Amino acid sequence: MMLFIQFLFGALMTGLTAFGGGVAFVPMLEAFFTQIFAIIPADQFFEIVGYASALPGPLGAKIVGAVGYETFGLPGLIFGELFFDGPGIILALLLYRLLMKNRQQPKLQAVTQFIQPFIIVMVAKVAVSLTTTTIATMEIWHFFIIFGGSLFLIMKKKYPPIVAIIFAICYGLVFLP
Amino acid sequence: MKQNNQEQVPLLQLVVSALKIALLSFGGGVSALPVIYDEYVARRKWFDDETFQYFVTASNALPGPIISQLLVMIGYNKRGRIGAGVSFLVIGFTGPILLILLLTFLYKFVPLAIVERISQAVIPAVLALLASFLWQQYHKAQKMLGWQRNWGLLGVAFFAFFILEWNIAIIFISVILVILVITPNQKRGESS
Repeated sequence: MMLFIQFLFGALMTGLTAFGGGVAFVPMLEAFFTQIFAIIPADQFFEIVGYASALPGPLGAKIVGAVGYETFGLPGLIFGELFFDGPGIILALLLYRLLMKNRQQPKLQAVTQFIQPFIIVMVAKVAVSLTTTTIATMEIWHFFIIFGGSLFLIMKKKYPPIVAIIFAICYGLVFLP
Repeated sequence: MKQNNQEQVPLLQLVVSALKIALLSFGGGVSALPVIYDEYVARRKWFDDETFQYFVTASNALPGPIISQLLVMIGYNKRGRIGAGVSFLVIGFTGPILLILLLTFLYKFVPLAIVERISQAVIPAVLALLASFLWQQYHKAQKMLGWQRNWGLLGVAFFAFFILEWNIAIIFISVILVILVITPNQKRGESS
């Protein structure tokens, strides 16, 4: 029981204090689950992270869910997700309601206009770091074929994202070592 | 200005869209933005750009998982609490359930090598999505702000993200506060 509470505490704290999503959560979850509390052995944790990063969907939620399930069964999955996602979601809903209530105010309209370049640079930064980590491990021509092919499919052909993803998966299964 | 309030959308559509995001968002967090934008703004046209902007701003200024926050806000906007709950169930549990299935018995049939190959192959496609998203958003900002203000702000943002390497939420919160303070307004008393 104590271990279960520690697990929920770790999930809650990470969900409440990690910003930016995705990879930002991994080191914190690792600290809580393998070091501060011995919920799961480190090697098992990293095996979960390995599989988790290969699957779609929010990364932190996948890790919390899998650690919870492996250690505590179904309650681990359900309560882990509630504690991990809950606070962030409630905060987001509160802020969202506040924004929507005041959306006619010129000040807030200024915010949405002037924040746009910051969103662009934030996305660009993620793109840059994804590019550098991928180029380090992948043959450059494979990279450019998948990148160019996907770009062609979505920008020129105007296909939805799923087409590019499926193209990439097929290419990977056939051509990647 | 468009009305924001709930033209009722069937719950099933909400679930289908959330499931689509859950299955297509590789790379985590911010890299899912293009897929989300494409689904809700470009394809379903449930939101205008401005509303989408509100969602992104709110989720980035706060701690917690961005994708789940975005989808819950979208669900809430369309169907109130039920919509938010349904979105949370779909986005919160699809990935973990897939992962648990993979870890508990699929790993016998799907070796890690194949899973890793797929996850690698998908990244350049995600980058293409990000590139096209950036292209659209850049032009939108250019039109909205004019090139001087857009490039000026891009420069500030570049400095904050790449040189100072501040935390995303700190940058967003500071930008919001600065804009709230310097924009003239009739009404006083915003949060500080």
